[in-house]
Amino acid sequence: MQILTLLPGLKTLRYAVFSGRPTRPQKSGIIGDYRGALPCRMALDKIPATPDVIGVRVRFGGTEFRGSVVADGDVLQRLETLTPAAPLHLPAVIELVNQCATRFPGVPQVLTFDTAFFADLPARERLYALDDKLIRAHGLQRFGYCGLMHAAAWQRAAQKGASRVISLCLEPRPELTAIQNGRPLYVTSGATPVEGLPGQTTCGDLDPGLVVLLAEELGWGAERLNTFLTRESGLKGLTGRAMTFDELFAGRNRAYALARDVIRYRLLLACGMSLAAMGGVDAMVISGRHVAAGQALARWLKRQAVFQRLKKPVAVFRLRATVEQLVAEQALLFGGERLREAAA
Amino acid sequence: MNILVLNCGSSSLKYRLLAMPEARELAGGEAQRVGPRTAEPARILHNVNGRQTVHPATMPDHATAFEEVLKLLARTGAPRPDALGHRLVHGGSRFSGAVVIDDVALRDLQAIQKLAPLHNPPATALVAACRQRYPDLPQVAVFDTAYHATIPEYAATYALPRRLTARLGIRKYGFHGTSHQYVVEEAARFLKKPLAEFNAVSCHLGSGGASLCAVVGGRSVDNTMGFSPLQGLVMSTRCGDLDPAATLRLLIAARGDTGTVEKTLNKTSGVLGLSGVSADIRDVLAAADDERARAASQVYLWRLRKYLGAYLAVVGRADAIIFTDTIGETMPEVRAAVCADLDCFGIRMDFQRNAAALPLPCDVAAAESLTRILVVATNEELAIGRRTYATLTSEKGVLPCKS
Repeated sequence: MQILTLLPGLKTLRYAVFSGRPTRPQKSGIIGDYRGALPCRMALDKIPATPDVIGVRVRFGGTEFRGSVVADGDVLQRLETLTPAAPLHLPAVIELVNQCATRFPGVPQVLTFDTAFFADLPARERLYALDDKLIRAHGLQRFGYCGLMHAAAWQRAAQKGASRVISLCLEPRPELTAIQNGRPLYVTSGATPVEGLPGQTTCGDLDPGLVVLLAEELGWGAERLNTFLTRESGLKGLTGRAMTFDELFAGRNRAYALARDVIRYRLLLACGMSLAAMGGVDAMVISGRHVAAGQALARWLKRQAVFQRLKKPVAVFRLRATVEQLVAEQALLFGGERLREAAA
Repeated sequence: MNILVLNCGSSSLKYRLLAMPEARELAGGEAQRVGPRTAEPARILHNVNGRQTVHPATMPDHATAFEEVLKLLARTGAPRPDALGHRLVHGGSRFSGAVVIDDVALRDLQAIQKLAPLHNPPATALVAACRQRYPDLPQVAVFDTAYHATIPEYAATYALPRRLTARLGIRKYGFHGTSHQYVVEEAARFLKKPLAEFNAVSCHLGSGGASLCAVVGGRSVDNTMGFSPLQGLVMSTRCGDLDPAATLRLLIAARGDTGTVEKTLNKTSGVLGLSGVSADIRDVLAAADDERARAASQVYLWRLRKYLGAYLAVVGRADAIIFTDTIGETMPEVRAAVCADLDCFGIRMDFQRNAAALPLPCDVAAAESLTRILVVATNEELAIGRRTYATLTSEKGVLPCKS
């Protein structure tokens, strides 16, 4: 059985082709400029695959999508209603799903949602202290955005007997969540992945007054501010150059010491919050593209007094799975079922 | 030396006349409804020897209110103040300790007003008016941010481009420092620990603003408020933490009108916005059968609990958790909800003792708890009076924030 995974991004479409089990992809690639009907069709034509099932990674599903689903007319309609909350991403997804149906007719498409793992975040964690009307008008509530990774991290730790897990996904936009008995209780991200831990180019937690100050002092409009907070901040802002978490923590350049300290400190705060949320911790799981830096950070965290004083030392696990593999697993699970139904 | 401590709110002026250094209170009170005329008349509530009298007065601004207070003090036989101690919320990066007001200091105060647009301008205007009318009366400014000057750079830095943050003075300043410092010193004394070895998490939970402070060796190492008093905990009408992209979304919805967004986040959010019932968390906790009120209480308590965990992780081994100010001192259920199930930090509360935490200071931790849980009464006016006295009697006239 051949599985095709599609990861639509802001500008590029990443694909991977798996045969049978989702371990190593047979083929993979990145196609630029896939947005819009015609470019999307041309992009799909370039993918050398005859899939039995397709997995599409969707970054936002709100509280509407609580797990993976097989795409159909109803699902597309529900996606459509969510577009105001993710106006750049969801239209591209909808276009992609429609074009896939033409390019690969009859092949089930499984949509997996980054936010699904967080659809049941407790209200105390989900809600911002804003006027009810504002929350509803703008859909301002907290989600997590690395749900696929965290779900896999939880399973990994649960197999080893853990029931309270701190999961750190070190992607360019990192995210930490506290999971108790499979349910996330606390997550660093917010209404968008901009809140929380600083990323490679995203600012992370800010005083809300600062956004207002920047608009006033610099006379910047929304677009400029958005670029500033999401493309020029984070590690790039702190160090003055574009760099990954692996680069930052592999080197010892003294000029970047402050950036390393800031990241470590923010992680320590997040771990303290996790401990308060779960009343303790059994395991920590590191995942994501920059798992090497994550392991160095986990070693540092374990040395801090708050972890040292735990009655049972925290176990640290590493999750090597890529997002593509996890999407392929979901496609196999949900799409495979559909195929078997069709065969029967 | 008789020091008149002045604390400007946006529409009030609290004052206390203290005989220093013995810290004897000679008179005190609050001028209410200072500013444009409101539905009810402006008045001064004046206390002498525990007896309160009410005095109507016309007070279009804080300077007039100050004159009325001086007249009232003279009329009730109080001695004339020898010096003034002003509470200033924001000291920016210019003021890391209390300062005697001279022309340079006043000019600098005026220059940093916009750092705290709601709080600094009335106090700064009052300092200027007092200096003009009573040039011989020594004045000292005491800053809420000063205690936090010891927050390490990595904890004070936002992940924004450094050149810009340097130019605009963007960093975490932290607030409520006068109160945090006061209760930390009281707590260390109560536990008979040398201040330099005292680690704690201080919870200043006011009926309006609230913040937590991580304390190592008697010094502030972090505060939940940030560049402005808007960040951190859920407050009566302030939102506390919010996704920067969400703030941006609100700014777009307001068509770029920063004033509207500022007002929304400062005046109609927090406990008021969430509950729709009241801006006072005490009312909201009591309205348990209202669904929105219940959600608001949960969000308020949860945010508090998360930050307590975060700062316990920062402090490492805390000698004490300190609760203070209106909510911290008088709401045992808030303390209990926040401290429950924190065994992993070595914390255990004696819930019975917590229910009747009197007299203050009071230890409400269980005997086996590795960390004490203290309820301590704050006294910002006394702290300002002490700092003013120390500043005026020290040789240099400028006292570092750590005395």
